[in-house]
Amino acid sequence: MHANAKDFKQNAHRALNDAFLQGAIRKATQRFVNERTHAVAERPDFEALRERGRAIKQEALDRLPDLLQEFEDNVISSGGQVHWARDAEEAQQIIVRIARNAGVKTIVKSKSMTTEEIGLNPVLEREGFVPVETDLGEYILQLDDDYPSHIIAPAVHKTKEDVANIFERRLHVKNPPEAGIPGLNAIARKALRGNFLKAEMGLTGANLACAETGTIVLVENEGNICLTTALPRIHVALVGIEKVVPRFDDLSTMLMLLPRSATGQRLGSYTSFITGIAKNGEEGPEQFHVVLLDNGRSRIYADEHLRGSLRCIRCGACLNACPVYNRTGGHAYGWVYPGPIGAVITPQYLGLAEAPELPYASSLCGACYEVCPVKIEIPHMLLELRGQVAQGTAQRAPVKRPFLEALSFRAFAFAAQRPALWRLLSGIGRRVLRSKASGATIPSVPLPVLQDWTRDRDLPTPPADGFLEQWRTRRGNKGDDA
Amino acid sequence: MTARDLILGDLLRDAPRLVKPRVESADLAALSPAVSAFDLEGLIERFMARLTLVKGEALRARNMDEARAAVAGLCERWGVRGAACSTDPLVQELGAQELLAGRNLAVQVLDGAESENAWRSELRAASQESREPNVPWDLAITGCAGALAETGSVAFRCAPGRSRSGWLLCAGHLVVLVAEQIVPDLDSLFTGGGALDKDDLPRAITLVTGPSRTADIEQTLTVGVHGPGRFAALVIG
Ligand code: SF4
Repeated sequence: MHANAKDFKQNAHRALNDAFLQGAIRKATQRFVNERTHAVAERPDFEALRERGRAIKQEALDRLPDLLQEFEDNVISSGGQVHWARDAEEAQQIIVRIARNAGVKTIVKSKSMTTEEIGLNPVLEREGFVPVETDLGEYILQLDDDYPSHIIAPAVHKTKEDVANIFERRLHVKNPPEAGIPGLNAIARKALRGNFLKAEMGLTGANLACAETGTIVLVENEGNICLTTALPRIHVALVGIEKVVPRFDDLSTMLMLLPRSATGQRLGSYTSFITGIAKNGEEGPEQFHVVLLDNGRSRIYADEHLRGSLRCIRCGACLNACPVYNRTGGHAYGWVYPGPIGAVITPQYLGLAEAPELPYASSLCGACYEVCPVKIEIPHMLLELRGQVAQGTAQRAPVKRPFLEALSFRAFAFAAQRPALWRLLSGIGRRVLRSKASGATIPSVPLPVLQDWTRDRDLPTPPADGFLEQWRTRRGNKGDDA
Repeated sequence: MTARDLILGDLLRDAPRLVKPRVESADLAALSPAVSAFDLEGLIERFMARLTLVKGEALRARNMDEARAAVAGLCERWGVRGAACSTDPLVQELGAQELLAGRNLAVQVLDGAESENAWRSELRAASQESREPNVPWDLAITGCAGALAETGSVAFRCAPGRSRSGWLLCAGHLVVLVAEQIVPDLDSLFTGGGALDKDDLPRAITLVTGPSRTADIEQTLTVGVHGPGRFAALVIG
């Protein structure tokens, strides 16, 4: 997918001025947050489950090379084939080769962040195949040449009128306004049903992969993944190497966590365990291919501070909890993975220089960590990345900050080390700011840097006395025990 | 060097040298106390309540006669014109095929690859020619390999004569089960001989929880997007 992660500020600014988007995101995230709270409250042992989830995924990372080989062996022994792809291009080539060898034309696809990540659809189209997204949200986006803005609700930024227009333009079917959303739904169902019945190949991702049995697990609500894995004669699953868990019964724990965290459901409408090809007259494909994708994951793996981000099961709970995502929506993050987890992994997939602002797209409030089913320490990782942006690492030079910003930080450091100067400047600063205040907040400050900062937010009015003065007064009151 | 060797080489270089002792499932289980056990009646109640919450219909019959009456009532309510039956023993014991035929409904028994292929070809032809299929498939009747009280789900194991598309492509799906098939929670499906027995895995096992649904357009819940828009479970016993 084309990445545009460099301009978080600019993208965010655009989103902040879009009233529909603001309402739609808030509605979706609020709904997910409420349902999740409900579902979690129902399991008094949810904290223990989270700890189990963390431990399982951490063990999986610690033993990753072994587990991947075990997974490979078991896929093969159940009749499947395994391919390894170091990057997006290799994965594209492998999938194109499978499709070409089998002489397929129509390829039905289920929602998969991983296929978005490798930008698969344009490549398949260029090679003469017809890839059809079958998740309703993804289908709408494909018809409109758009891309997802939420991991779970990809088309959250579209209105029903948008969708009606898209269907009319691309499918030449008009939805009478009184038919409403169920009408739109029916149009998509009909158009896609034909594709399911004629497709020769089905393409999916995987929510989980189990080393012990070579099984992949797919979670969904619509039934499109069931059809994609049942009807076509070839099934290809593109699976990130971090998806593997050691044992079959680990899947149970992960499945108690995933839907509850994602949508607050106890289970999605359909949870499928797929193992190998169809055997002895079962329904299913004659070929089952798993493409194991690295595409930067081994690089993340090499960084001890950030390795834990590979535990992510893409539930989207951190997006819903995040005050920044709640205002900017997913497109502001400029690549496939939005929200707090996107702010951590996008700079690593694309390189820090391609996304230097993302580690700052957070107030470090910690809400993401609180809800994460596998306890990823996102705030710590964002701080680590900020450090890498500012100081660089052995492999990377520091990213250049804007001149004025760099200068301000240097001035701050200079003053903060000189108490007398600090007292003088902060006294003047407080007085100037208080003169601009209206009540508890200052709507805008006509000074460089602060002017930018207050464009999208209010600054709290500083108290008349600074910290040092207050400290001294309190210490005075308490006697000299401090 | 193949991509496989390169990826594994990268990972091996960075994998922790000293892997902490493997955390065994038993230790993990100790962290999470099992959901309190129910008696059978409690399990049935919970299963039915949870299924209703996800917009499924939960039906109960004490014996086979009541069960047949419940199926007839459902066909009436859903306005069923044609149905597809699987070859599950319980569906046969119920005599679903005769029951439906007796009500003058078109019945198709999907008993293996041949009948499934014929059925799907007809559906494909209908879709390509933009016409209705020769029989409107309003209902699929199947059994299941187990049911979950905690979530109101049923487990469907594919086998010859038990295809997933057999119910996915119908507008409604009725699952019949006996009460003893209900287990408390997901963990219990994974243990010894349950529906998710790891020593005997077919191509696909699907846990079905209510009807097919989506909220992809303006967060508005709609049922029946790709799979059946109506889902019912009939508990016998
Ligand atoms: S980081 Fe945690 S909360 Fe966020 S998507 Fe991944 S698993 Fe879910």
